[in-house]
Amino acid sequence: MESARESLARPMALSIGDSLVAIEIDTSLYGLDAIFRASYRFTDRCYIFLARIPEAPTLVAITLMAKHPTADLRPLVGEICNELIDQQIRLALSKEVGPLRELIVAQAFAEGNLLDAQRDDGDYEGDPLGIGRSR
Amino acid sequence: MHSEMTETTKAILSELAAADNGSCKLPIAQDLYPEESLAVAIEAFALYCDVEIGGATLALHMRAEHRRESRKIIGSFLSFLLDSAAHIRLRAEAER
Repeated sequence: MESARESLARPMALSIGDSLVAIEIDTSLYGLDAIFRASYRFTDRCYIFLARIPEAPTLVAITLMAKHPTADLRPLVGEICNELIDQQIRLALSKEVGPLRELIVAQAFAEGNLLDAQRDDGDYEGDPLGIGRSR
Repeated sequence: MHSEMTETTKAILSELAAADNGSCKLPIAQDLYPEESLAVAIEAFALYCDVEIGGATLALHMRAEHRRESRKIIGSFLSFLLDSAAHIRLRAEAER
């Protein structure tokens, strides 16, 4: 078996040959949801295993194992790091605009106006918005 | 991320590098892979390998007739496990 070597070009990655690579991710930067989503995106290209690291509880190791023993997985390290950023931003945005998105979807399927129930119920004689009132 | 890799990561790499030998022992964390995900993966691969869970360790042993394809089976087991765990997370998120 080849011995493990740390790549100088990518110091965060450790590989055995080209077909087995591991990176350690700090969960204070990337949440578990982002780690799962990013890992899942690569399951068509390699086998993936996630592990907690008892000696460093904030770290999670992502290990990539090639589906074919001669495949070179090292280029995937950069890709998975970018994917982690992408997924973390998506989750942050989703948290930020999630309630607004839910309201838009709910309004699209609702019969009345969800923000102002009276707005669509009134008629011109009642003039609930006071449009006809002189200023 | 750290330039110094931990011993756990090195051990995982060594175990997976030897996956062609027909067995593999990996650390398993409950918050990453809940019991339900392990149960479905073990059931799905029961024809191909025996799985032992001892504390925080998962040990896979290929059945003799499948030992030649052990890398593929171990890898597929891990992907299946990740898939199950991801679905459980998504389901929990939707229920929140």
